[in-house]
Amino acid sequence: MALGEPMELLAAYKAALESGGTVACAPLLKLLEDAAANDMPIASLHLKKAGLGEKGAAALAAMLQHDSFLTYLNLEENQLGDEGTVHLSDALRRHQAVFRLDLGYNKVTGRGVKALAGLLVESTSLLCLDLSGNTLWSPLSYVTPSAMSVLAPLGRALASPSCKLQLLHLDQADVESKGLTALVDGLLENKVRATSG
Amino acid sequence: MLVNLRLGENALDVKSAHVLARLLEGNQTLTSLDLRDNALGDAGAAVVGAALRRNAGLQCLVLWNNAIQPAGVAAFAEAFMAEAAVAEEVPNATLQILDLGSNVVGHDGAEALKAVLVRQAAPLHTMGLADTALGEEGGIAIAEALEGNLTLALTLAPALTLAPALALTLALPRNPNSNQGARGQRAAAARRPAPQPARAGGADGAAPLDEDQRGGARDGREMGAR
Repeated sequence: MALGEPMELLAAYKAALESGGTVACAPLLKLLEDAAANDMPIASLHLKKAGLGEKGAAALAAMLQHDSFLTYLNLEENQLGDEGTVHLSDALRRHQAVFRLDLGYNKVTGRGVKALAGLLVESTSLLCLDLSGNTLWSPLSYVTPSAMSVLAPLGRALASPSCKLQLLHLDQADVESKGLTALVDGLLENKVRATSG
Repeated sequence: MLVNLRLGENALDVKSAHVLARLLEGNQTLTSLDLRDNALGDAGAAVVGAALRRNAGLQCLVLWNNAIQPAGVAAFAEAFMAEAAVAEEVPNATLQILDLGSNVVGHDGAEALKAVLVRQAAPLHTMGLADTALGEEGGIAIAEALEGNLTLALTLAPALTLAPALALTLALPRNPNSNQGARGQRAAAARRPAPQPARAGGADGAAPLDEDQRGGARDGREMGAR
């Protein structure tokens, strides 16, 4: 049985809910049940505003370990927070197919960005990341250098030759000039390596 | 390598414009930059425009709603017009989509843009001028520029409808043959009567985003020459 058979996914999700003491996310459960009933693997998960929260993200992350079909995850407006983002980032490191991840409006801040930066360096599939509507800024950036800004880990990831990212959306994300500097420094670094190497 | 970057609604000002200028001058892989709803202002527009002279990769730039006034539009346009002062400074050869919507282009800005279009100083095929207070004189200037230009489609549709074009830039490998066809169709469109001033509509360009433009302009403002 290939990794990610619909029946297996549904079982994995239920097991994760049980071990996490979490209630099911209704739209996700329905998608999984339908997929299992029709034996049709799921290619994209549209769970915008599905009320996942941190625990829901943890269960979803556990389920992702058993999947190899998903290519697109839209999890906008789910109150994932940094905790949920860390869970998902860890799970996606081992995932080989997800190329697009939408995490807009999820109260992601520094810790979540750091986890995603780690994912970007390791992932061989992730090409598109949407972090719009999160707070990618901290009052500390008034006094600290750009290399310590919330976006700095993302900048360093973009500088890595192993980073495959092609599309980055940061609308309405409180990006200011220091965070932007960190991003741009990363992108320029990548350029340097690309030409010299 | 990053090709598509969106930084809308982030209150980016002229200080950030200088940072972006550094990116444009040093990075030639980025093809789409969306800066809608920021606060670049005239100074920021001039800085970004100047950086484009040293950039050979950007194809789509969205400056929708950035508090740019006619003087800022003119300064931005200058970037395409200036004679090469230094060897590496050449007119931009890559910019195809430019959205200046929801700024004040006015008559002065329109004249500056006309100069760019007439000289064909950039390979623009789509320019967004929705809600830019062109006025009668500005409209006439743009219409005059359009009349001799076989490759440009103007759109009065809001910035949002250009978004799919950004995605297309990412997703689709460029097809060298499609350009030929597009050019032929645009030439055919241009042979028909020029649109009325001050409500220049979309010509029947065959650019990939044509569908989306029509969708966005369905309120009847599109007065295409067809």
